[in-house]
Formats: sequence, C-alpha cells, structure tokens
Amino acid sequence: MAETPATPTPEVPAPKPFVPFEPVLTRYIHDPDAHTIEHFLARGGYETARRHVGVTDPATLVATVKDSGLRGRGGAGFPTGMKWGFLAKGTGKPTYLAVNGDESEPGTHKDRHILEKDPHQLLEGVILTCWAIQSNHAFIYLRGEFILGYQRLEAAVKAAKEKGFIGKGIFGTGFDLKVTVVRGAGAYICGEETGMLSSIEGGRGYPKIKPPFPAVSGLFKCPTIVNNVETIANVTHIVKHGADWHKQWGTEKSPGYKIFCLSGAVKKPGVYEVPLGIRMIDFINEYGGGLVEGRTMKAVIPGGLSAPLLTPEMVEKCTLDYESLAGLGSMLGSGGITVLHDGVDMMSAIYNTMRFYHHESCGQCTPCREGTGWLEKLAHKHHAGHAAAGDADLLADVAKNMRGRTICVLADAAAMPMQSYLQHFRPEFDKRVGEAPRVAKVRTARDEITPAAKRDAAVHGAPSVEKVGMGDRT
Amino acid sequence: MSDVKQVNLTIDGRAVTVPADWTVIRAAHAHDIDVPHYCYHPDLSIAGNCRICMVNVKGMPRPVVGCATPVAEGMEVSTMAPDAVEARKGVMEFLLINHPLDCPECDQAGECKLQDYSVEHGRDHGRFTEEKVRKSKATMGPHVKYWGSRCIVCTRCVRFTDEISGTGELGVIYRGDRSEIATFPGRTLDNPLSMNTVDICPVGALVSSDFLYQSRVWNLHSNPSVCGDCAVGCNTRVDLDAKDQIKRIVPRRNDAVNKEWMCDAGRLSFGYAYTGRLHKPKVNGQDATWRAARAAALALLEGGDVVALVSAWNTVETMTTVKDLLATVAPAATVAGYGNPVVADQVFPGFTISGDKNPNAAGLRQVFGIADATASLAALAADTRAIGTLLVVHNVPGFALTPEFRAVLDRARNVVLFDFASGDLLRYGNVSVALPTLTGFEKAGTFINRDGIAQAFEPVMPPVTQGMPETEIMAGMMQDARTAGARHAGSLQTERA
Amino acid sequence: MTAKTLSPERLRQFHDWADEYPNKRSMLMMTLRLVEEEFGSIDDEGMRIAADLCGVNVAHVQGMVTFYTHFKRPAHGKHRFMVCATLMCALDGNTDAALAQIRAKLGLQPGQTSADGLFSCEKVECLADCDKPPVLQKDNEHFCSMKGAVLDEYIDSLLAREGKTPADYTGAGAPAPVATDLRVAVLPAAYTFPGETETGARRFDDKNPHGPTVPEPQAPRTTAIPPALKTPLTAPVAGTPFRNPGASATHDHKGGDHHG
Repeated sequence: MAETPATPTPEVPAPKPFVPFEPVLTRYIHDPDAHTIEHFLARGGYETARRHVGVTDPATLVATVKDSGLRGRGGAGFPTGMKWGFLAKGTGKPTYLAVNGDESEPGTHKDRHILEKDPHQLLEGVILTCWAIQSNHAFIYLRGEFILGYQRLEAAVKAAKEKGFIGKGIFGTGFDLKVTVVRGAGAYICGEETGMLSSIEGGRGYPKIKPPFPAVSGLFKCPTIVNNVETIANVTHIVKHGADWHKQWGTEKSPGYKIFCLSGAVKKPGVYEVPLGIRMIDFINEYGGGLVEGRTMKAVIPGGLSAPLLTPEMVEKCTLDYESLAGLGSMLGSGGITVLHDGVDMMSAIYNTMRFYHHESCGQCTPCREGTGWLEKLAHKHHAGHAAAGDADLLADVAKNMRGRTICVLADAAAMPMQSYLQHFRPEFDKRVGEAPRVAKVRTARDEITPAAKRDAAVHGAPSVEKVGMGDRT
Repeated sequence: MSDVKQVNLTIDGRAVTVPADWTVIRAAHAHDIDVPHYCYHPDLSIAGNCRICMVNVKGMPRPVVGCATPVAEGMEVSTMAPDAVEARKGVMEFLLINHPLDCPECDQAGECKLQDYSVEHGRDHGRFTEEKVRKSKATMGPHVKYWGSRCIVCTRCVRFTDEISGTGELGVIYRGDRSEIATFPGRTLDNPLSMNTVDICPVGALVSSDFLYQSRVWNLHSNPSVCGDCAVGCNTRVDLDAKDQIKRIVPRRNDAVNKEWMCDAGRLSFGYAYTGRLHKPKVNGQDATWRAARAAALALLEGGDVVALVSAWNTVETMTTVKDLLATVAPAATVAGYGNPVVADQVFPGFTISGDKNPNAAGLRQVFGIADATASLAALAADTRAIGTLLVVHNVPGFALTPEFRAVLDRARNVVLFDFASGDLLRYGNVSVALPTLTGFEKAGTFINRDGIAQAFEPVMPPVTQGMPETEIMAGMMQDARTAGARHAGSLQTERA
Repeated sequence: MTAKTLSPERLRQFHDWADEYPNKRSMLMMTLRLVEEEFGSIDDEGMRIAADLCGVNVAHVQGMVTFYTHFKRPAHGKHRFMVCATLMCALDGNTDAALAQIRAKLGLQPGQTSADGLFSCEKVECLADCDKPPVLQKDNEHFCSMKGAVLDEYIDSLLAREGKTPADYTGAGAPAPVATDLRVAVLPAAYTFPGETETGARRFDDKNPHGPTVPEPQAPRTTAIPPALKTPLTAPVAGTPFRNPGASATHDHKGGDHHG
C-alpha cells in the first residue's frame, strides 16, 4: 500500500523516506497450515534461534534489541531492550520470561492471530529472548477465552519439543528451556503484568506493589521479564535482520511497525500491520475504507478502551506513533483503534466503558475498588437520562481522585476515558440532567438477628445454609 | 542492638535513625508520629491495599504508601504535605461511599478507625447519593460474626489466618467492590485464635459474638491485667462496665510475651469470677467470722503433721507468704505443688498456646523449688504417711478432682482451704476451714510465665465477694500468731463480722 | 457415596505438568481446568480436589474460582452462552441483537439459566475479536459476527442435539428460567453455635467456654467501689507498677485503639 508523504507541518513531522512495507508478523496468517511446524520450518523457521542460541553472546542480542528501538506492544510502549537491561543479575535465583497473551484490552485483537495462526513465530521469539536474558523457563499466559490459541500453542510447544527446540539442551547446546503455557480464566486485570504474575503463581490476579519491579523481583520473587506476545514475536525478525532493518520504518522514537486492530464504523474493520508513523486518517481511510455509508466520524478511541479519545480535529493531526498520541493527551496503547460514528450516544459509550472497568477491577485497593463502582453508577445516570445537576463535576473529581493513588493503573485506565469524555463531550453530559428515580429502601443489618427473625426460624424451620451476597450481575 | 545498617531520615522535620530494612510507616510509628493505616499491621505481611497511609516523600512525583516504602538515607517524609492530605481525604471518601450507616448499631463505634480517620483525615460531608453495594452477613465461626457491608477488604483477617494461625480458613471471594471474606462451605473460623481477627479488624465487619451488643465502648472503662489461663501470660486489657462487670477481655501488646495476640479460651474465661463463688469464711461447713475462721485455721496448722498443697495458679506473693506462714506456724511442714494437667503446646506459625494450663508453675519452682507440679502431686499421692492438716491454697477455676488429688484429700484429717470458688473441692467431705480468696481479676500479684518473665498485675475490679487476697489472710494469721518477722504485716484488713 | 476424583488420565496429566512448575500452588489455574473438564463444571467438591492436589487451602481455591469469571460453575447451563457486551460489540446494537435472538429461542435473559439446566446466557467482557461484532462464545467454541441466520441456525442445532425445540423454552407453559446463582454458600448471621446466646455475655461454668451456660448469678455484690479502680481509657502512666519488659509504649492501648 503506497504511503502518501504528507506536507510537513508543526503537528505532522516529515515521515521517513518511503520504504515499502510487507507485513512481517502477520505475513502468513491467511495460510491454513501456517500454524504447523512444517510450514514454519519451510520458511526458515527456527534458523535464527539455531544460529544464536549457545553461540552468540546474550549481551549482543540485548544490545541489538535495544538498538532497534523496539517498544513494548502490550500498551505501555516501554523500550524492550532497556527493560531487558534492568534484569537483576547475580541474585542466585532463576530468571523467568513471562509472555503476556492475556489480550483483554477492549478493541485489541492482534495477539489472537499470532497465537492461533503462527504460534511458532512466537516460540522462536521466546527461545531467542530466553537466550538473551539467560532464562531457562518461559511462561506464556493466555487468557482463558483463547481456546483455539491454547490448542495451537500447546501443539506448537509439543512439536518444538519433539524437534529439540525446547526442552533439555536445545539445538544441541547445553542450554535448557522450559516453556509452560498457563491459561487464564476471564480477568482483565491479569493483563496487568504483576496481575498476570500473581495469576501464574496460583492466586487471584492481584497486582503487586511496585517497586520492586518484576525485573528485580517478579514471578516467585525471582527476576522476571514480562513482554507482550507481539513484542516477543518481533524479536526473531530483529535479530535476523538487524536493528537497522527494524528502524527503516516508523519514526525516531517509535521505530518499526505494528499490528493495529481497527473496529467500529469503518467499512473494513480488521487487523492491519503497518509501519509506525503513518497518519491515522490515512490508516482509517485507506486500510479501513473510511467511514461506513451515511456516517461521519464523531470520535476515535486510538489505543484500546483505556485511551483518551480523539476528536476528528485531533485525528487529523495524529500519526500512529507513541509520541504523537502522547502529545495529543492520549496513547498508542495496544493499537486497538475504534471509530465512533455520529450516531453513537456518547453517554451510552462512557457508561459501557465504566461498567467494563467496574466489572474488571480486582478489588484490592480502595480508590479503584470503590471508585470504579461510583463512576459506573454516575455514568449510568447520564446514560439513563436522570443525572443530577452537579454529577458531571462530581465525575471529574472522582476520576481525579482515582488517579495515581492505586497499586496498578486500572484506576487510571478507568479515569482517563471519563476525563476525556468530559473534556470533549461535556454538553452531552449536561443534556442528561433529569429527575432521579426513587432509591429503594435498604434493609439494615438488624433485620436478620432480631428475636422476631429467630421466632420465624423456629416456626418455619431452622435457618439452612444461606446464599447471600454477590449483588446482581447481568 | 541489631547489626542491620541504620539510615537517617526526617519525618515531619524530625530527624530519626532507623534500621535500613524498616518501612516509612514503621519508622513513623516508632517515633509516635501517627500515620493512619488499615491494612498495615506490624505482625502481618504488607498488603498495601487500603491506600490511607499516603505520605509525601520529597522527590517522588506523587504521595506513596508508607507501609510499602522502605526508608532510605536522607529521605524527607512529610505526613502533612497538601498532596498527602488530599490523597488521604480522597481515600477516606472512597472507603465510606459503600459503607452502611451502621454506627448506631455497630459494635465498633467508639473504637472504629473509619470514624476516627474520617474526623481526622476525611471530608465533612458525603457526596455519594447512589445505591450502596450490599454484601452478606454471615457467621464465620463459633465466636466471630461477619458484616460484609462494613468490610473494607483490608485482608488483615485473611493474612492472620494464613500467617499467624496458619489455619487458612478465610479467603476473599468475588471481585471488585463485591469482594467479601468467606470460609469454605462446611468449614468455619474455629481455630483457637479466631477472635484475634475481631481485634485486628479495623471496622465493625468482624465482631465477637460474645461481645455482640453488650455495651458501647465509651461506657466501658479498662484496666490492664495478665491472663492466668496458661503459662504464656498474655497481657490483657479488661473492659468493664459501670457496674464493674467484665464485658470483654482483649490482648495488650507485649512483644516479649504475646505480641498482640491471645487465644479465645483466655478471652472467654472470666465467668468464674461471677459464678460459684465462696462468699464467706466457713468453719466445718458453717458460715463464720473471719476472726473465728483464721483462729480455727491457725489452730489446725499449729497442730502438726502439716502438708501444704499449693497450686500453680497462685501468685508469687501468695507462694512467698505461704512459705513465711509455714515457717512461722508449722516449720516442719512439707510443701507439694499441683495444677491443671499439662498437655501439649498448641503451636501456630505466629503464636504458641502453652499446654501448661497454669499461670505460675515457674513460681512454684522459684519459691519452693518444685520443678514439676504434676510430679509433685503424684509423689505426694504415692506417699502413704498420714496428714494431720492439709493446707490447700487452691484458686484454680474448673479444677477436676483427679483420683490422685482425692487420695491426698482422703489421707488428711483436716483440710484448710484457700479458694475463691465453692465447687467440688469445698464440698469434699473433710474441708474444716474454708477461707474465701479472690480471683486474679480482683487482687494484685505476679505470675512468672513459661519464659521466666515475671509479670505483675493489679486488680481490675472490686471484689465480688467478701473474700480477701491470700496474702492478707495469711498476714492476719501470722499477726494472730503473734510472731515476729512477718514480712507482709502491711495493711491489716479490718475485722469483718 | 464415593468421593469424586480426577480420572487417571487427568491425574497423569497433572503429574506430568508438575515437572513444569516450580511449586504446586502455581498449578492451580491449570488444575482447575482439569477439574472443569472432568466434571463439566467446578463445584465445591471439585474445589476440594484442586486444593488437595495443589496443597493450598480450600478457601483460597474458592477465592480463585469466584474471582475468575471464565471457570464454569454448576449454575451455568450445560451449554453456556457468553455474549460480549463491551463497547465495540455493543455499538450499533450488535450485542442486543444477539441477546435478543437467544432470548427468542431459549427464553433466557443474560444472567439466567434455563429451568432444565441445559442452557444459560450471560454477558461477558471483551472477547478480543472486535472487528467482527457481535462476538460470543459457547463453552469452548468461539464465534464472531454471530447474529441473524447464523446464530439462529446454531441455536437450532444445539436444541436439536438436546432433543428440544424453542417452544420448550418460550412457549406458553414453558418453565421459567432461573437466575444463574454464582454465589458462595455461607452460614447466615443468625446461626448460633451450641452454647451461644443471642444476647448477653455468656456466663461460663468454670473454664469451659463451649460448655453449657450457667444462669445469672444470684449472689449479692459489694457496692462499695473504691474510686481508684475506675480508670479512664488511657495508657498506664509511666512508673505505675507494671514491670513488663518489652511492653511498647506506642502499642499499649490509647484511646481505645488496641488494634496496633
């Protein structure tokens, strides 16, 4: 797809010289057999691993990845090579690689394709990463809802083991590598790196307090590197072709390419791997085919549900790289781009968003546990049309009080969209002020242990084991 | 005194020096600087989930939680910086939005950290007008009830059952603001340390079913004491109402003895102070005056062939006075000890309940050189010599008369009994003189615990009966005997008719 | 009644996996999946099996099973429909369309299980296929763009497999569905253990707190209360006769706070 060089303006810097881009990570996902080891080997699979494992100085591989400027593809965009460099050494404890295949950020659906359709690509990246960080055990954590992905990945691990690419003394070297696939079970918070670690350790997905960071004390209190599936899948290609190859595309601060997931009111929603730095409006129009018939753009959620949204004016200025989106007050995140059309009720959208975070909050720390519920309840009033006059201001204050005070950033992920909707669509909030319905009377604690209750129990039978609590969840 | 590196930092402008492995909150508390906290507890692992202990550390972009921040050289901590104050205010608001307005009927009122911190650190008005989350109310175990709606999911109770009692009955169920604490169906919170969860619960979510609705805490007054139920000697605080009725006993912190824990049995056994008491001195089964009873006892003791049987429930002072009394009136007397049977210790990861169900066996060793009370009684029982007068200094609540004990009683022609209870022992045939004494709640004394730590206690309540401390009764007897050298001739009790 | 246990094949799988994990506790997620496969859902007995295999407390396992929403529980139907309700699928009424079709054929609102336990419907959060709404899963099968004829035919095929028709669920006289009850059983607050009284501090007979209670004492009490014994709720003053080594000044109770 030819890229139209844009006229340089202060907001849109001149793109790098055009280099044709062919998908790297998603090149084979349409081949029905791409997930088999035979297909992978036929295209030169595991050759890079064979060439480097047991041969190349791990520090060289770390330097290559660092030099390539690869940034984490899970959402945070932290430079991968730099993260690997933070790994605590000489602790006497084993080091672990934990690959994050939880992919629960709404709007994101890229790792699914790698797992289901090209899992060996991921495995080779795992092998190279483990050699680079000198880890003998990698855990790949998949969200529980990835059934096919789990089956394909397990089959891939088994096939790789049979060929001696995983297991004891891989590729005939003295380097052992265990790869364990762990299934999650329906918790967005297990996509948070330390939530995932808690889950792998066999607990509720409670994020851990940082510091200490996982690179110092992570899985089982050992130094751990946590990386996204897409990030690890990139490692093989960077090691194979070199850091400069990777830097051909993208921008200075966001080199390379990324898989973007386009959804919403476009003609061709889907998964597109494109170089970083292209203009978002070009991406939407050329890859996505533009808005559906009869609709105009109202807003774009650029990086998964947690990302503050962009108005059409902001979209015009936006290029698909980390710094451009950060400059617009949002984030590239996981690359899930959702286009909202003019018919979308923003109050329903924000209510749906708040309900998501309320449902997924792990409940460990106070501001998130209580705040997400409060945000949902207030957003629901706006959605239903009976908000009170000061509720929008209250929403802003609640969102502000949730930020920066919690163990992990789920509270921020809930507060940021709320703040951005208030910033850009405040009139819609104000339109929803109305008369509130009566709140039902709440039974008090006293009701169940009065003598009257006991007399009732004597008359109607002893109290059996009772199921109470949980509240309504529809 | 440890060889851990020390660091210097300032907290609220005060320069402090603490070990390098301490957290900011511990450093603050050690210097009487209040940092509010719910989930932090010095004896439990760090959870860091309540987020109320926010403090400002110079150089950090945001307030940090004091419980999870290690101290560092040159750190400047401020607990009252505006951003920390705002953070705490925000957290207080979040804690209260789903909290039910149960204060009028909640046991915790008056000693509730939500109330206290709300006043100190919170807003003066609520802004939440939505429907609150409601959770279950449940009976957790024989002594603990749970009000889920009040729970702030600090997980102190869960960490307690994991780390201190090691029994793991409690877990957090569900997710988000529907999180509750629960046991597994079929299991209950029934370990011997279960009521400690009530103490550590900062709100009224876990309440003692024993103390439920008994009294408002501001109507109680407290007196410190030492538990006498086993050789640990947990430091306690006894809460009494306006009529000096004991309403509850809770532990008091003593890092050398019981940390901040206490077993359930010790908390709940104070009923013996109120039931089955011996009210008046008795001679040959009939009520008598103190003067008459003391005279009768003295006569019997001076009569010869005296054996003293001193229980391990007596204070050191009582034991010393017994020794002095015998030296004065019956120098040829032999002394044996006895007590509740010693069973195996109950060892928990963070606490050990002693199997020696006597508070002062070590006292017997110190005063009389009796190393093993049970063996001492057994030896006495095996002995067949006749006993003229058996002086039993009892004061053991709920003592089961074993065959050995009965054998000794049977051999005695006369029994002089010092006890606070009118139980099986009093009703045993040959008690000639019974002198009513006081329980550990009503007198002063010292117990020596299993580690040799001597712990003194004062009375927490006025005497329930006309009984007197053994030391005073015996002092009176020695005075009556008109012998010199009585050490405890102190305050002579006024004659009581 | 014989105790339930995992089949030999699954136990073997468990032991094979044990080589992969540094400790047994970290096997919990996968062990619960074995239990789920073996028995079709995870009930209390299954939680006990998982707890025993992994050497953890059963209360912890219950915490796991109620935290993670994807584990199948007995209250879910044999065929468990999970329909994504997050924003990308909810846009343009896609989620509602799918739910409406499920309701039309199976009579189920989200959060309900059919009376015969064969079908249940629930709203779940994003299933990571957002470019093809509506997305739903039924047990281990994943579907996207699932509405209209495709969904109708699929539900019909499931009904046929079970020998049922939509009329069995939506016709007049069809039994009403029940709410999918995922709650945990707890003892009610009114439950009293033997020896416990509803109100009033218990009066004990000697040292047996669990034994039968004793009626209120009748004995008279002294009314002469020496004033010195009534102390307010403050810490003991330094120098009072408390010779307790190691007692910390900060943690002696002050102002009623004995919680430390």
